[in-house]
Amino acid sequence: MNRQVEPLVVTGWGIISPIGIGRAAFTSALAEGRQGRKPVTGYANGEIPFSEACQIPEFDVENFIGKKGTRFLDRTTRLTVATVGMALDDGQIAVTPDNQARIGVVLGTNVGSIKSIGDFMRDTLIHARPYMVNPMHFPNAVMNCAASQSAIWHRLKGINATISGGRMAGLLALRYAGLTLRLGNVDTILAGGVEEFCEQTAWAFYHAGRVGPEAGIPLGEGCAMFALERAATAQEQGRKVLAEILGCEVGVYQSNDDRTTGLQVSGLASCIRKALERSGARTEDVCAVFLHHCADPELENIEDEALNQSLPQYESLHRLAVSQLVGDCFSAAGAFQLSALLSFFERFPEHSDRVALMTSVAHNGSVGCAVVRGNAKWQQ
Amino acid sequence: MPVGTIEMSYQRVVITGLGAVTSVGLGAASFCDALRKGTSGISEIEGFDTTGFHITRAGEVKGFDPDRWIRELNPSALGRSSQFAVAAARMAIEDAAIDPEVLSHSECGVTIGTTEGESQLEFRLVQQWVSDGPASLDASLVTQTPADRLSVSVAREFYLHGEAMTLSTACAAGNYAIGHAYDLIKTGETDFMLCGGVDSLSRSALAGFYRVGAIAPEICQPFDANRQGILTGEGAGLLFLESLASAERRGTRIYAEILGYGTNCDAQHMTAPDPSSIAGCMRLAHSNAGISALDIDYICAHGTGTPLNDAVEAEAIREVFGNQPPPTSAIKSMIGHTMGAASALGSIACALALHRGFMPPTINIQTPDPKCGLDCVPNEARTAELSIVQNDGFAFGGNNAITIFGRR
Repeated sequence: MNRQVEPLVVTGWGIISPIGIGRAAFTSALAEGRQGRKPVTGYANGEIPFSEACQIPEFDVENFIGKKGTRFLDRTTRLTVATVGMALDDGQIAVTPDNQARIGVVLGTNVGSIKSIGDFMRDTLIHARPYMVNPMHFPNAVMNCAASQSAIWHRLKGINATISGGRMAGLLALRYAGLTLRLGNVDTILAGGVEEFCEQTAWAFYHAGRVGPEAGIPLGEGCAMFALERAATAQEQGRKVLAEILGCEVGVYQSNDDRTTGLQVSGLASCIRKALERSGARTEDVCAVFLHHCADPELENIEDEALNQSLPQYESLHRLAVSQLVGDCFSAAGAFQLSALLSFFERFPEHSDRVALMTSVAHNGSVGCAVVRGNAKWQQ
Repeated sequence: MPVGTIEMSYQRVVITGLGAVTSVGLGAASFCDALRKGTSGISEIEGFDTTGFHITRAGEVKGFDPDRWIRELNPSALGRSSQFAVAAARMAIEDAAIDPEVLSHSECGVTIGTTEGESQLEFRLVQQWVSDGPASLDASLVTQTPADRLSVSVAREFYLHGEAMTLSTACAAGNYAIGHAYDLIKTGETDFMLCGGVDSLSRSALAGFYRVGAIAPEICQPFDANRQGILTGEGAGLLFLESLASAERRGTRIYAEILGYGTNCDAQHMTAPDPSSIAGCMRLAHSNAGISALDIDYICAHGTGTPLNDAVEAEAIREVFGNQPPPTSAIKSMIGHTMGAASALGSIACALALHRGFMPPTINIQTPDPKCGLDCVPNEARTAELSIVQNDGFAFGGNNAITIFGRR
């Protein structure tokens, strides 16, 4: 039943993270173990319910796409448009009238820009009439804005999809992109995830008890996007293959009547098993694991227990929770895990013929795992 | 099997269950009945305070009782959109006459499209914020708000362990969700899928569309010469899909086969649709479905009722179909613009049209717009044996998705 899947290849990527903008900066920050945590900036006292966060105050969209036409773009959209551009550049993917219909975008998010949505709703309450909203802000309040604007700025006319996946957004984007590419519906997909830091998200996390004022992992933000193609396409186009995305499995495992997490543990373990099987990889091929870990001990235990059950060598593996450095980036978290994974293979090419895992768990019972192989043939 | 090949023996995919939560009726049978009668679901908005709005009518689902449909989850811990989604899923499963236990032991997944997710919960949080400050927010609402809840709630209600995905590609999202579910079954990833779209009536959508002059004062009249805009709406449409082999094995009723779909992106403008890109999407859908434009017997239009949308859609249709396009009607004339549910309910209308042999009407037609040049099936449903039909879905951001269905 568990048929092997055709691998997808990563031919370029871009990242805007609290520890570095761009692939090289992120990779060296990771090697140094640099911390993205800093005092909250851009907000007056009391506007944010905690004093530290992993913000990216130095990000300026004008450095990426110039000044013209950027005034009404919200932060989620700015981050995405800029990162899509970086991934295209990194992969040396030239968008032309001939190929633009064959390049798509698959963006993982929570609800798009919750700031745009919240501010728009607020405008319907605070003015003399409920409809006295700024029409220029209306498209920003729709969840597919960032992916669509990325298409507009970079002229990408292929499939354009937005996935509301929260903590699962990264894996779901990989799955959606994978199926679409394997079916040949497009040739290239820019897939990834985005999250913006704003007062709405900060208070939501505060109320949901996800981030205490001085929690181990502060709230973060950012975006990472990956250029994905079939191996044949990459070869045809003469692209550098950075890594192969192999199996990617997700599922929902939660009993509705109690708080036991056993079902989620066994669910994640079965996703890991299946993803490895479908990758044609064995447990002993796994050389590293990139964890979701989001400062909730319950979710962290689920992840650790499932991995422990699945991989006999788990305790001795290279393990990294990139959230320790970039913060809890929620719907960008999976994309940051994959970024850390790609950086790992870049730094340690001797592991490139082995595989690394990334895992995700969510409070709603969702779990998932992706298997990625480095490319031993690729030499920087 | 060698690495690097996708199995070429694709499954055929059929629709065997339908679930509809609409302003004109609950369940496939009453929705079908309303489509045949040309019933209007437009009424005065009761779900939120309309003070200050000049237009207070919408396609609102009245008297919806979540307790009737939601059994495993706590209905009061779900937003209205999730409630709609779970209810429509239960209807679709019951309609397909499949044991949920079987689904729970399969890889059955859920894909749901939406424009605004749990917009009513978001709005309540914003109200709390504005009146009492952000420290006063209701924490239980905060955790109910993420849009992934729409698909995950369906998975949890029926103990489904497959992929749960919420696609938030605005007003084409229902077709995106159906397309993705189709792909999963076609490639043998799973045998069963629940898929469709949902949205609940949104005060901010009313404000936004009114502000840009896109709301009609009383009635929605797509393709009429005097059309004045959309009316907002709400609801859910969920389809139960399985492989043809599975449906035949079960000996169950098949509404229709999904022949394929196409998606593309205008990449031009956030709100102004591009006719040539939409025509391109139609051609893509036809090609993926292995048919030609000549094979299409009926088009279930995106047909919002704004002067611009309908003109652009008609132009794209004429570009692809020539001067004798197939009859093209807009069910938004009856139920309003149900946003993320719209193209899912359009798909259900197509499945019913194929199965029961009729074309749903465009109601409220006084003078068909000669500039559109379409037979919009004015005011009365038409009996017709249909073989292949097309369902259009277009969205903000130029996200286009078109599904093609065939009679079985």
